[in-house]
This record gives sequence, C-alpha cells and structure tokens, in this order.
Amino acid sequence: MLKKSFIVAIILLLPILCRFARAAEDAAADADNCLMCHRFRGLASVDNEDAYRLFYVDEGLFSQGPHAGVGCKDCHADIEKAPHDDAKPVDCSGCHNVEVPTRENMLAHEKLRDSVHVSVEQDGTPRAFQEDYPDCRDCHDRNFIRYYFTHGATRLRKVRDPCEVVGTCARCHANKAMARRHNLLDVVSSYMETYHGKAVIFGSSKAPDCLDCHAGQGSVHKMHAKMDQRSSINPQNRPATCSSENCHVSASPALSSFDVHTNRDMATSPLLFGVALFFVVMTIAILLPILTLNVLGLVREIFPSHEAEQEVKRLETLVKGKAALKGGILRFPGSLRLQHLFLVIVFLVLCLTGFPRTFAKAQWSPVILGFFGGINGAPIVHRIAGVALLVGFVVHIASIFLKVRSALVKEGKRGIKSYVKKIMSLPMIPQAQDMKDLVVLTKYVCFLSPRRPNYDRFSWKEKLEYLGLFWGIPLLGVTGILLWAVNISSHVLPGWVLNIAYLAHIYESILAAAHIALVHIPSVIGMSGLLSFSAMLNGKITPEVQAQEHGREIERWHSAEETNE
Amino acid sequence: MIRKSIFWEKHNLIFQTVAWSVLIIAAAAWLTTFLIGTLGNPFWENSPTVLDRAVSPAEQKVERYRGEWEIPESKTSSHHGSIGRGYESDKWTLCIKCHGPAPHSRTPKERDFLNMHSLFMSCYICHIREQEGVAPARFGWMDLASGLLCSNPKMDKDVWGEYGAKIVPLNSEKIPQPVKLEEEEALAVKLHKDMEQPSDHQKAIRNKFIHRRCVETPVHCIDCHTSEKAFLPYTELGYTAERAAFLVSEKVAGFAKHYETFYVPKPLDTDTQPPKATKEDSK
Repeated sequence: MLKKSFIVAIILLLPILCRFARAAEDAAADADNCLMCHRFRGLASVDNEDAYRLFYVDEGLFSQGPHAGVGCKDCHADIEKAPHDDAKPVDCSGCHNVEVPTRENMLAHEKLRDSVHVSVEQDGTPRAFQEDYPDCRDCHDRNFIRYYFTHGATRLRKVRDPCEVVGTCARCHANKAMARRHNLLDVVSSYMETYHGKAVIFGSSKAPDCLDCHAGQGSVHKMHAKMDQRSSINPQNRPATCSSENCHVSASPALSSFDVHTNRDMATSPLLFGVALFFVVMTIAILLPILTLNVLGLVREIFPSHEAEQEVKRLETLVKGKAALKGGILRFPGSLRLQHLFLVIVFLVLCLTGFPRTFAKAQWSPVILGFFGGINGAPIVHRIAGVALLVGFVVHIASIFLKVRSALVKEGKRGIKSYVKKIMSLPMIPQAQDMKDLVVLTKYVCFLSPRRPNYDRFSWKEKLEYLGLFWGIPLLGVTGILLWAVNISSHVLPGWVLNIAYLAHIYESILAAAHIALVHIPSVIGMSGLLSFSAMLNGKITPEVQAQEHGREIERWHSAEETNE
Repeated sequence: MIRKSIFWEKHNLIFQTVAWSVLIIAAAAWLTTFLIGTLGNPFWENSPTVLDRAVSPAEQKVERYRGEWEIPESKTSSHHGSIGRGYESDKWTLCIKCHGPAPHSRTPKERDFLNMHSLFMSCYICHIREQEGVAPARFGWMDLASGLLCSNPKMDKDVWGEYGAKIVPLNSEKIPQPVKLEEEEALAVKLHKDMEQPSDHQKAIRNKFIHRRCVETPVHCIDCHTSEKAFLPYTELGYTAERAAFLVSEKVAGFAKHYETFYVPKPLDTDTQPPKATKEDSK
C-alpha cells in the first residue's frame, strides 16, 4: 500500500520535478551568468571589418535547442573571464569528433577526414580553395538538429525534412562561382528540375534529397566524389543506390543511367540538347506562322476587299433559307460535342495538375496544386486524367473505324486499300486543296489578292489541330506511362531514355497548351468578330459564321440541291 | 446576334484588332523567349530562392530592422542568436543620426557592452552636458514614438532594456522636457544637405560646434553601478527595488570595474593625434 502511494506521489510530482530539473539544466547552461549581458538585444557592435555583429542570445530558444544543457563555456572555450574580447569561432569537433559512436556517446561520429567535404586530402595535403570547404556549422546550423530526437533518430530512420537538406547543400552548391572553382556542375538547378526536386519544392517529406543518393547507406560524413569507387553515385554503385530500400526497389539496374543532374546544355548533354532543340523548333515553327497569319488576318478585317465582302454576302444569302428552316446550321452532332466536352475537361485537369509541377518556381503553382491534393494527390489525378484521355482517344479511333467499316459494307467494298481510301477521304484528313487555301489566305491577308479563301467543312487550321491530337496524345501518353511506371520501364528501356521521355512530355505539353491558348481559343471566342463556340454548345452556327468560315461547304450543299432538283 | 455585322463599326473593329494583336504578339514573344531560354539552361534560375519559399516560414531568411540599419539575418529564427524582432529605433537623439545605433567601436572588449546601453539610455546622459561643467541632475524617460517625456515604463520580468522609452537627461525648464541639441542638429542637417565641399578646416570648425556640448570625460560604468551614490536614480526612474539593488550590487559593480578605458569622441580631437584614453585600463 505504502509502495503504491509512493508511486502515485512520484507520478503527481513528476511535472514539478521535471520543471526543477529543467531549471537546473538552464542554470547549468548559464553557470557563468553570461546572459546578464547577452540577453540584451542591443549587445552589438560594428566590428573592424564594418560588419554589424549581434551577440544577443534568446534564452527561450536556447533552452529549447539541442544544446540546452551545454554550458556557454563548453562551446566558447576560449573565454576565460568577463568582460572578454572577441571569442573565437566555435569548434564543434570538441564534442562531435569521437572516433566511433558508442553506447555512452550516441551522438558521436567519426571525425571528417575521408570525405569530399574535407579541406585536406587523406594524406594531409591541403586542397585548393580551402575557404570553400564547409565546417560543422555550415551544415548543422539549421532546424534539423534542433531537436535531439531528430538528430539521433535520423540514424534509425529518415525524419529529416528533405527541403532542409537540399537547402543546406544549396547554400554552397548553388554558388556558381564556387562550382566553377571546383569544376562542379550546377547540381542544384538540375536537381530541382527532376521529379525528386519538384516534390521537395512542394513540401513532400518522402522525396529523396541529396543525402539519399550521395550519402548512400553509410554516414553522411563519408561522402565521396563521383568517380571514387566508394561513392554511392559511382557508376558501379548507382544501381544499388537507386534500388535501395524505399526507393526504386523493383527497378532494373538499367535505371541508374538516368541522369539526375542533367540539363539541356549542348556541351554536357548533346542528346538532350538535340531533343529539346527539336521540340523548341517544332513549337516555334508551328505556332509562329499561324499566329502571324492570324494577326495579319485581323488587320485585313479592318480593310476587307470588296470582292470578299460580296462573296460572303452571296454565300450568306444562299444558306439563310436552310438555316431558317432548321433554326441554325447544324455543325456538330451530339456525339462529337460529347467527345469535345470530354476532351476539354480532361485537358484542363491535365494542365492544372501538370503545369504547376513544370513551373514549380511560379507563385501560383502550389495554390493550383493544392486544389488537387498537393504533391501527393495531384500526380494521381494527373495519371487518372491521362488514362482517361488515352481511353477516349482509342474510343474515338475505334468509332471512326466502325463508321468507315459500315460505310464500306454498305458500298460493298472490302480490303485494306478500300479502308485506306475511305479514311483518306474523311473530311478531317488534309487534302491538296488545303495547301491551295493556305496560299490564298496568305495572299489575302498580305493584301496581295482580293480573294478570300472559302473552306469546306473543315479548314486547314481545324485539320491541323485535329491531326495534332494524333501526334500529341500518343506522345504524351507513352512518355507519361514510362515516367509513371518508372520501375517497370527500366526493365524495358535504359534510364537515359527516361530523360528524353521527361523532356518530350514537358515540351509537348507546352506545345499543346500554347496551341489551345493562342490559336484555338481566340479563334472560337470571336477574335475576328465571329462567335463560333456555339457549335460545341448546341451544335449549331449562324449563316454568317457558315458563310465566313465554310463557304465552300455552302456551295457544295447548293450544287447538291440543284442536282437533286 | 452572334456576328454583330460583317462590316463592324470601324473604331470597334480597330480596337478589337489592336487588342488581340497585342495579346497574341506578346504571348508569342514570351513563349519564344521562354522556349529558347530552356536550351542550355535549366528552367529555374536562383534555385535557392525557390527553396526558400518552400522551406517553412521559420526557416526563411529575413531582413530585420535593427535600429537604424537593415541587417540581413541569415540565421534561422530557431537559432538562439536570432533577434526575433527589431527594437524601436531612437529618432530623437542627434548622436545616433550620424554614429548609428551601435556607436561605440574602438575597443573590442567594451564596445558591445556600451552599445547595449544605448538600447535604453540616451547618449546625452554620458556624453552631453546642457550647461558646461554641470552634470545633469534630473532624469526621465523619453517616449521613443513621440520624443517627449513620458511616465516610467512598465518593466516586465523578462524584458531587458526594451521599454519603448529611453532614459534621458531633462532640461532646466519649469516643465522639464528631454534635453535637445537644436542648434547642433540644425547645423548637422545643414552640413548634411550642404552641396558645397567645405575645406578640412571648415569641417573641423563645424564638427567642433556640433560636438560643443560633448564632455571629454563621460560618465563611467562605475558611476552608475555603484552602491555609494549612483549617477542615475533608479527607483525614481521606475526600477523595482530588487532590480535597482541588482544594478548596484557587487555582481554588476564588480563587472563594471573592468570597463575603465574610454576614448574621447574623435571630433573633439582637432589635431591628428591618436585616440586619447581618459583613464588607462588598470590591468
């Protein structure tokens, strides 16, 4: 009974005892009464190098830090009396340099003497640019050693914040001048462009940081140069590093040829430079001529030729009767409008979940990504939308084939040639006439001809957009799947192909979005004064729009009617 | 009506055309520049900036206002050396306008400690005499927001030296106010604005005028931190008996005895002699 009461009393008194213990610890930390002066925020001066130096110590923060129980003089060992002269920089190795961690001293680790970050070679020869090499505080002066738990527990499992680690490394490695001195690549920028880096930017705690690859399974203090055989990123060891626990466990060793620190530089990455150049040239070559024609077309709208005006009037008169009978001219049936709506939704979702990661630097990126569950949720939504787009694309192609087949059956034709012929005669397939129309348009907008082109059911622009889907969707789909199923992909393709897939995916998505934003949307929301988007709402357009945009189709209808009559 | 007219009113058409053209040309120019810029260089420049945004707010580098100067504070807010916030600057004491909030700079051992006092004490207390040879006898608190005499500030237990007010000497008026160096300040302002380049001799004369009320022998640490008769009346200034006793205790007084080397402000030396110590360090 007495024993039980004693235990209860101890439990009840525990908080008070802890408070006393903490107070005793604080008192121990400031046994020399340093805070008598150092607790004043004004304890500062301009030193001999004109630097403003503050010697204030926040008692509250200090008592919460990992060194709360450590006395001031334990670190600032050169201070022997107060007042004192300028103290020397703290040498952390006074405590943190014991040979091997022991049960008694769990926080100890081997002294830095065999790492790329040590300022001397193994034989003691000083390395060039001594001032660039970090000391303990360059890496350990951040939050990730704030808590004893975090510091100690990191040895057991990853509890550090990747962003803090990358930020710590970036403090030196993002310095281009330093990188040049040591013949290093711009590793921070290139890392930030990978999926790993972007996940870190968006606050993922699971994303691999610098230490996951460069420190390998050993101590972070045993970091070696890439070509050192002991390095975790040495070509021989990279497969093991990539497939280490919690990373790409099921990946093939071929994945290790994926270059994390690559860019599109001609000298260092000629292949990727070539791929990037291809897409850049293609995007500019497709968009700029169309945009130029559009702008010139706008100017021509102000000064239309008399002939063009008369032609539009004539066509409008021809089609007005047809439109009056049916309450407008049916342009797209319900099935096509449904497919278009599906495409719009999926495209928007893909853009909203993809571009924030492409442009991770932008302020709007985290906001938009947040609507889709952040870096953890958005990629899932992106993949679902991607799969939906691929399925929709396959269904669309299948529906075309079925229509072609049924038409051929009706006509009693068979064979591949008939299929090809029929498909090539479909209204969305480019014909020689489209090239002629393009020439006519170019002459008209350049004021070289008074004749305005009359398009059939689909103009060359619409055909180009449609065929663009047959290039873009498979490309984005295939590269997207390769990047999604990276572990499986590595069993089929080497890692460096994923570098290309990554670039292709980004550039193609930019091309697609730019085309929609700059060409498609302006043309349907009335850039030239024509509001034709009703075609995708109720399926109908006005005689004016039909006359302006699809004059040849009116003539075809008219001649068919005349023939029937 | 979907298409308003084949022949729009010209001005409306021109507006539409110009607006769309500008929009398209700007977008095309940006896209082209961006795409070409992606060749050879990463999409992101200044990646640490991006990282800073991603790092938790507690980790962000901040520009903190410390007194008169903007000092970049690279240390994290969790570091025990972080100032956490700026303290209110003194816009009323003339000395600070030229010498800054950390004016003591000669002796490494003492400058920080002396500068610390400028947090809650006007420079005038130690360095200025309103009337030559007459030490100030009346002191009060000057509100740092208004520059006027205010009541004794409340001194919370864990607040050290930051009360939104400073101890100042009071003038000899019937209704006392903080001592002002109006004539000196007027000349200092004129000097600052003066575009003509004065000669060294003129500079020396003007400096001497600005510093005419500076004393060669300032108030020493031990003048205040002494149990005999402290220069500052702590209890009248609102210090608790406990804190007043602490300030004159042997713990502080003994410490203050080490601060015995004081240099005369440079402008008082009209010749080019090295700084003169008024009292040599006994050690």
